[in-house]
Amino acid sequence: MSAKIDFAQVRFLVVDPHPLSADLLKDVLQMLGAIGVTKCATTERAIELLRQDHFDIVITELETTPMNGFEFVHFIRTSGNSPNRLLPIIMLTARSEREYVAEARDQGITEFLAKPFTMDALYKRLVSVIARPRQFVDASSYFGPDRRRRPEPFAGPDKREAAPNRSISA
Amino acid sequence: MAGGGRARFINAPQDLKRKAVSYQKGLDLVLTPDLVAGFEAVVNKSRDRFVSSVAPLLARLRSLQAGALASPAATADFLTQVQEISYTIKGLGGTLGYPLATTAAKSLNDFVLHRKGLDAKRADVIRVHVDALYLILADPHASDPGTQHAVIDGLLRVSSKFA
Repeated sequence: MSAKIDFAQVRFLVVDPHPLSADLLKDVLQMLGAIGVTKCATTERAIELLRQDHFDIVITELETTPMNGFEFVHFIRTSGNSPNRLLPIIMLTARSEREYVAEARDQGITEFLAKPFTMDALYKRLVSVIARPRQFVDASSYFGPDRRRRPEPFAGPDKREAAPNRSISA
Repeated sequence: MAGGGRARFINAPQDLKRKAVSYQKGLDLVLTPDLVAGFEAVVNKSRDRFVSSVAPLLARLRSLQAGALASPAATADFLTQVQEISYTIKGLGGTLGYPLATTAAKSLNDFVLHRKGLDAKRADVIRVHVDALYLILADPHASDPGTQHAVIDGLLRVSSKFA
């Protein structure tokens, strides 16, 4: 028997100012079985919703206002007013050039997916976020999911220290 | 909060996994033919809505284009509209079976991104992109691949020439 994901248990917040795009994503998530899918067009509204309600995954565009997607992720990951600093965030955007991907990663996104997306690519990101959560790194210049996807040998001294489980979310 | 000193690991949050992953109920972790079929149904449903929604947006661009050079404010408004509409088409076209629309819209979006002013030649570059998008959305398979490639190549070249 293999593991399964019950999407009915997952609450999504979709932040996308483009109605067509947001509607398509909502339709796809509902097709997967998701019941709790909330859309909003601005990051201001998104933050309100995150404070009012519980969401398990945020899927955000990069081209958002008043904060752009990078600023929105930065707020969630680092602000003292963040509703949940460990919240899984998927950036789904048509700005897919390398520099945008790198910046999104360095702001602390959990997954990046370029538009136009395929079902296969979206599903893999969702499975990764839900079934294979990554540890977080809290460093002087970065807070977010561990950016290393594969363990790679390193000959130098280990400068990271394991921390016990602790609650970060507000 | 990130602070000075050594980096720390925080164990991966397990709450979401605990409540959504099980061996009893839900979808497999890999795509199944049923899921692919479900996705195709969603795409098919969205495809018509995409075309019917984008056509008026392109019509609005044509309408705005007529007065786009009349004043700096009109130019700025026109460029904002072009940027937003081309971005939407770029992001959705490929998912909904219009990869050429994504390519043409990307060319247009790249052309107007960060652009502050406009002259007649550059307005024409936008116009040919909008015309091409109309044609692509009207019938994405209307022409042979060689012609499609030539159209996209032409858009990219004219964008590059007047960048």
